[in-house]
Amino acid sequence: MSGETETKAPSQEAAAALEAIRGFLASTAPQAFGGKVDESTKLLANGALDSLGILQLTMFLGDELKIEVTDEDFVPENLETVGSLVQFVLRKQNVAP
Amino acid sequence: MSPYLLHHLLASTDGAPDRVAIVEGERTYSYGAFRSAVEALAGRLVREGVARGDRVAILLPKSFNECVAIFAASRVDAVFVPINPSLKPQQVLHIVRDSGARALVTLPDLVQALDKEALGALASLAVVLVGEEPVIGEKPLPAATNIGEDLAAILYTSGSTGLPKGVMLSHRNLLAGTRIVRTYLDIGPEDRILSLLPFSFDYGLNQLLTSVEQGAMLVLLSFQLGDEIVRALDRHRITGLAGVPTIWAFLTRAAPSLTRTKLPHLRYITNSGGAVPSNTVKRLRELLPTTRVFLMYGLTEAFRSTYLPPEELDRRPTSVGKAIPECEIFLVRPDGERARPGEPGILVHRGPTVSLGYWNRPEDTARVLRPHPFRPAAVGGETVCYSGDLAVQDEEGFLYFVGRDDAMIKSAGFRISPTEVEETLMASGQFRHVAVIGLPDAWTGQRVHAVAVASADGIDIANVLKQVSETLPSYMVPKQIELVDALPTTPNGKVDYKRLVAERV
Repeated sequence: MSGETETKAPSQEAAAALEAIRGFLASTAPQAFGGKVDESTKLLANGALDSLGILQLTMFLGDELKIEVTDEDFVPENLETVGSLVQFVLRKQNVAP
Repeated sequence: MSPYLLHHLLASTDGAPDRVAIVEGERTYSYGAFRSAVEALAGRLVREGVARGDRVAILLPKSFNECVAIFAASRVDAVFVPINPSLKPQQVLHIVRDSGARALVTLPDLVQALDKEALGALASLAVVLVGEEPVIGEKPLPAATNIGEDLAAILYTSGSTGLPKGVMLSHRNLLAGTRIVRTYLDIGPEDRILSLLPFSFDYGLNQLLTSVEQGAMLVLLSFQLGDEIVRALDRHRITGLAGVPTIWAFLTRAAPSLTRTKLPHLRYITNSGGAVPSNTVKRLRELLPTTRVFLMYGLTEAFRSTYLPPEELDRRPTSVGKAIPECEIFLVRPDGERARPGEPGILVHRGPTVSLGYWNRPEDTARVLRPHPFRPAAVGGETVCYSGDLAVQDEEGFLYFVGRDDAMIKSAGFRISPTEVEETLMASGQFRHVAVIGLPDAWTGQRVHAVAVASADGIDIANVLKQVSETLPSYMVPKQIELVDALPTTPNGKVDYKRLVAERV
């Protein structure tokens, strides 16, 4: 039963996901994401995350956020920006609007 | 004349200057353009003072210019030292310094990231920026004077301890590796090969060399998502693809378009740089029913050692096969005797791809390159390569990888020295002891895992990881730092790495 998630506002979940993703980016790619990271920060453009970075992100989503990323999830729409990644995480956690 | 120097390989297409050599993004380069660019850069290197035997470090992203620089170094009797641009400035400088490079061929923004002072201290280093100056009216260069025994390349790779070491390869080594791999993969002029792996990695370099030797087409690709690989395979009707376990993980688990894309042109795929899980091989064969799968094994010190013929895959899915053409492999037990079938032994390689050892490291070299154990030099025994990899052989001579004889980690195709990661972690001042191990991982083969004893309570692990990420390339950064009260030790008082791993799998 997901009684707890129903009572939480999606914005709280979004803030938590954003925070977790920020932490991941700061620790794995400090050069590319050392400055301000917000929802508009691009993940794919200019190779901000390389293939290994994408891989690490996948492992992070699995290990830390308990999200199972499937084959079909690896599309630019989910990974373009920090914002699209947060939305993806929320959809996976079933709390997206 | 048979080719005996690396750049001689370019002569195979002398009569067909319009053949496509390299595809980089939307740009296509012919063999004629390739040869002209090599001559032009060679001229610049000579003007910068590069002479026979000098090392030319190449710090470039996967690109046409990188291919040009590799051949240009050979053209001027120099030794190329390719550097993976995903390394951090500290490691780049280590390679430039350790190799004693005379020139660094790079791009403005890549040199920008390096420490000016440290670079400046290398007084004799000429920085050659590519893609800047148009070359016109060059005088033709004199022919190269090297012979096949001269050094062609130094490839930096990690062992179980310390900083990366440079493996010295002669022209003869590189040409033998090219000829041997081309033979068993049956690569010909009509092949179109996709190059995903870095040229700083001997396995990745081989795609460039076999392609040029045959006058085939090489498509360069840096990818972020698995679907980009599928798109390139389809669009360029790629016939051959070389990958490491991580690439197969991408294709089977993170490339949604692969199930919808038929790739009838893809003649073969090859794996090296670590074992591919059997279920991944199975899935690849379902997704690519007409493609032959070659599982291979090699180490930079001997370039390539074994491959499993695709027709054996069903019978021996976990075997790395038998010796590549022109080479012999045997297993040596700890007591120095030849291992019998089923007995584990150190894999020993003999043949024309045995390297010349580690640059400026005679002691390390002596551990890896040794006299033939069963045939004294007086009766023709030569130097062979002790891999440090434990293997067993079945009754029919097929080899199976057992493990490392040391603590070296292999992750995403990269060789990682635990001590290099440990020293970086210790430098944070937060730990009393650290041991770094590799744990099995579906995506990368092994994931880097640190087991540590904190020097005080309340340590901020996230912050330590952040610090470490600034000095280590991402593939070396531990996925996790696990705090314990004490590290297990062996009866000799050394950290018990085997136990640390065994307790966590």
